[in-house]
Amino acid sequence: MSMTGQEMENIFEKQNLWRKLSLFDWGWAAIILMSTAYAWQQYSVFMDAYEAGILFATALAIIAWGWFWKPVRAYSLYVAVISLFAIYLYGNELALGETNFFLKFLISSKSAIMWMSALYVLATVAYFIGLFIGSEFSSKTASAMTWSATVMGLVGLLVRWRESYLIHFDVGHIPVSNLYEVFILFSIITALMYLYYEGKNKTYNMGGFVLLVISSAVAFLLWYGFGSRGASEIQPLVPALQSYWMKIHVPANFVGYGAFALAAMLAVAYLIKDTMVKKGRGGAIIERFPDLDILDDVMYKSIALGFAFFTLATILGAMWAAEAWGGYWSWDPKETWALIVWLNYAAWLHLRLTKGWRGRPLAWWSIIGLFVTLFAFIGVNMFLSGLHSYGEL
Amino acid sequence: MSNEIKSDTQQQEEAPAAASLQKQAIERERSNLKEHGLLKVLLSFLGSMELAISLFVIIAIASIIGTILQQNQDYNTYIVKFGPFWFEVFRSMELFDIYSSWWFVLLLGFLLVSTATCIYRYTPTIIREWRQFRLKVSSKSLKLMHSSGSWNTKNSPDEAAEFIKEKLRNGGYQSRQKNEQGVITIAAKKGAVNRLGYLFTHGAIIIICLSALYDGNFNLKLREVAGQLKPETRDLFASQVPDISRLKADENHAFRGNASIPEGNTTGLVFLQMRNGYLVQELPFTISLNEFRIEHYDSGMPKSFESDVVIEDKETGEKISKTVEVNHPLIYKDFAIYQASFEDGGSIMDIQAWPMAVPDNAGSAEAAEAFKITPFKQVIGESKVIKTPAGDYKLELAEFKISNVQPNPKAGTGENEHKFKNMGPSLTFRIRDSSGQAQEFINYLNPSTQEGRFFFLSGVRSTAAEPFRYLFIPADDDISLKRFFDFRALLGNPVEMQRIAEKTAAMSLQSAGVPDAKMIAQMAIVMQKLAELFNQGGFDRVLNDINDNVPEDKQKDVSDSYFKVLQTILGTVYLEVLQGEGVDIENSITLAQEQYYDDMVNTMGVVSNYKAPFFLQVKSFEHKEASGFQITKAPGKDLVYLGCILLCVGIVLMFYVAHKRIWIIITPAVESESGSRLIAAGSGDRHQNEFAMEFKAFSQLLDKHFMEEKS
Ligand code: HEM
Repeated sequence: MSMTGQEMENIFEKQNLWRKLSLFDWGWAAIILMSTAYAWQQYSVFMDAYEAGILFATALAIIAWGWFWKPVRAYSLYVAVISLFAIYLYGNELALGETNFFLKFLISSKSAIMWMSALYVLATVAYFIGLFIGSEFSSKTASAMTWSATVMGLVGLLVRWRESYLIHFDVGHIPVSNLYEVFILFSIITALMYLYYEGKNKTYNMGGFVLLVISSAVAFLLWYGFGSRGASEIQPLVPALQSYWMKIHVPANFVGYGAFALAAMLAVAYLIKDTMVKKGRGGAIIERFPDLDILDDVMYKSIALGFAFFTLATILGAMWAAEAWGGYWSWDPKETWALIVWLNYAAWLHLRLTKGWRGRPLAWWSIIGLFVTLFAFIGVNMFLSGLHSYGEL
Repeated sequence: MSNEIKSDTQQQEEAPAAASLQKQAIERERSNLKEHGLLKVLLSFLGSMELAISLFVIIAIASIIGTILQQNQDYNTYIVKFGPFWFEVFRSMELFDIYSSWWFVLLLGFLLVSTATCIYRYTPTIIREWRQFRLKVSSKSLKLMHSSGSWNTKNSPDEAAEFIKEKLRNGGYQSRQKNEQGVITIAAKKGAVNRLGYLFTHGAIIIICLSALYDGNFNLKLREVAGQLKPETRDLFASQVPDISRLKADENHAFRGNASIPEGNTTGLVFLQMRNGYLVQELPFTISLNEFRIEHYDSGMPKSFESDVVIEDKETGEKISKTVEVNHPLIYKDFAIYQASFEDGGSIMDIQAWPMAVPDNAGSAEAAEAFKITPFKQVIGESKVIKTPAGDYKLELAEFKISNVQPNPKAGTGENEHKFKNMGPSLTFRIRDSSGQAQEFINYLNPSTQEGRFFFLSGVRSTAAEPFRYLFIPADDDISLKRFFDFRALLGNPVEMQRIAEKTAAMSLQSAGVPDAKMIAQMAIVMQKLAELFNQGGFDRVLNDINDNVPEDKQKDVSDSYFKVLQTILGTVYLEVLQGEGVDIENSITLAQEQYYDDMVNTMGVVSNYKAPFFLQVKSFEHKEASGFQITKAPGKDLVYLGCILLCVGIVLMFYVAHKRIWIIITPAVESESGSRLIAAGSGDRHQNEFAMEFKAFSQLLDKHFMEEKS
């Protein structure tokens, strides 16, 4: 759990949670609650009980998240303001996306995603420059760009959500229903997790490695979404996907995928550094690589987090399947691969926790784990047929 | 005052703590099980990490095979794919139904036993850890711990103890104190629920696996092995399925089956898929489908579908009416009824077959008569033998689609333009000849427009892998096929053709001023011959004939004159057809009728590629849909969910609640009466780094407190 040295010092003093919170914390929470109440008042007629539950639980979760990790407060405000501006500009006129200056070039869903893509790629480069020449300025710029990209990514998704309703009331749905959309989700979730560890460990030097996997996701996104396939077009949902389950199952899954990807990229950094040091070729650059201990620790934490969310996501998926297809487990390829991924990381965690494995073997294992995860994530859709319909390549 | 805190970022840090727990457990067991040497070995094998990891990996690999090799297909598909030898090998290894094969279930069984052993071994330790504060520690052992420190203070041991206990309480620790000969030992801990996480996760695995196994079809497999059950592999009506493949309502505690119910029908049975066959399961109630509704998006994609059903209990006669929708199942007693799919429920087609093939004996009047197939009705999914002069054919109606929405190629970006167009209903069917060869056809019931004219479309292909090749038949003034086939019928009628040919020859020679009877007769014969060739294969057929029979240097002249002659007779035939329709051909031939002639002649040119003995037209239809339901009984479901909740809670406890202990030993100072000496140490089990920080804060607190007191 995250605590700064200062917070730690207070741990043995009499205290309560409420006094630890600042005025900003309270004001921000009030804004979240008020917006939720507004959303409820406006849209409750369209929600079933589960969706209402999801709405309020999400509000509370965001507040808890922001109190736990402070940068979330500013992040959420930026995202909210920009998204609302875009939605305001749209009004009821989807065609404005082509004519309005702000929408066309900045904050229509497609433009925001383009900005996100560009910023992630630039951030990757900047992080590596920071790492190789030891430039603090470059690293800080990279971090700022990563934050901005993550703002734009979430803006892109939220605006897309609105755009889907502008196409037609019937078509509207949360944008986590096809490969294009979930790749955006993947990018921003991975980035957020990385940014958390960056802040906590006060090191920018893991950035390049993590952003590399995000940049790859961006490359796929551009090819898949904007290439000849045109997957960036908003499509209506098939009946089986029209369920509140999608709103919780898919995001939970992508916290898992993101965390596993993060762990694998840290494993790459770990192996490079470890190998170079062992060969006695640890020059200044290798020196600047993050500490092996930090890498090992963050790798573990990230897999633990991913495992927790992935377990939850798989369970939610099973419950959804029980409701949509009549069975909580059908050995459908996507389900089966979720089990394979789960078993893989269960083995990883057992080896670390009971056998005390550390370092290289587990780093290799995380990298292999990423390939297993990738197959579950896209390979299944590409090569195997089954009931999970989104995005056949 | 010494205050040493060792760096805790060393590797191999957490292992000893975990291992120590394990060691304790094993030692305790050893003492318990001294007498049972074999059992001990067995337990240590079953509970070993090596076994657990191997099982994880093997199950993962088996699962991968199951996703790559499509499961539960028709056995013939496998034989074609792998050949008879490998088919037999794979089948005996149950690779076509891996997830319910005996060896896969055995693997899961091992997983169960392994976790159970683990729980059995750990539980005593966990309970002890949970309850005990471990007050039996020595200064020596404390100093050996990674996080430790020592202080001197003027406080009395009691004062120091009070202060420390308060701080520990603030920090969320529970503590116990022991006084022994003036020495105070304080043992404190927090986050003991972490240990519960271990029980929860592993217990959850057992609960989930057992309940899922209970919901699976393992009992049916056992009965199959015992010879009490045999899956049916033939395509039979439910009523014909023999008893050995049937299950009574109370015979099976859990199942997952399918039922397809046409509108207006009732069923009390479901089919359980089992490898390449099925079992018929009786239900304690019947389901009637009153109405099936489906909505589409503009793109033709289904938007929603739902069924109005009535459930009637077979025993009590109690009736329940409800609507079942995708994602909104109907729960009745222990049963759940899901909207799964939809299909044709036996729509009835009202069919007219137009003669198409030009048989060798087309010349006979009887042949022409025999070609008149009286209109008939046929149900989708059924087949029927049709007699034609060219032989008997089997007509199989495969699929009826009520609408066919396609992207509109002409759609612009305009706001109100339709991006999609609906081609209307279509019928897919096969025509199989006596040797078993079949062609597949797709006919659109409504004509579609091309450049403002109407055409009937029919696609044909020999195998499912090919795209359809389409024949466009122009629609006449009544938007029907009648004129086209009348024209063909007339061309194929030798008696009529002779009359028309003679008439046409006479007329054209007279207008040219050479009314020679012999020439007229000759010309009529040529005309009739050309028309016959044309009827068989359009202009191409005529050209081929010229190429085959006329010397090369004369071909051009001959074909020029032949085509002129052919056009003349075809024109006359067309006029006769129009006359037959009641058109006044002297005055009022419309432009459309002229255009029709051109379109028809074009179509005639390609019609020979349309390999069909007749052209099938659906004149009307009665659409009937069937709703596909999945009906399940899964009594273990709630237990599975309970296991899932335990699993999640357990994981959070295990990963995110740190189990931490702090010990403090306070000894009265020897030299001065009032002071005392403190040794403190602690451990954070699997959260060493975090604990190290916490312990550092604790040390600093003591530093500060005792420093202030000095000054
Ligand atoms: C899927 C089936 C599972 C099996 C077969 C299994 C098996 C085992 C085995 C054999 C051990 C060693 C116990 C011993 O030495 O007596 C163990 C320990 C452990 N397992 Fe599992 N496990 C399973 C699931 C899980 C899950 C889902 C988690 C959750 C994260 C988990 C977390 C742990 C942990 C943390 C330990 C170490 C306990 C300690 O040393 O304090 N296991 N498991």
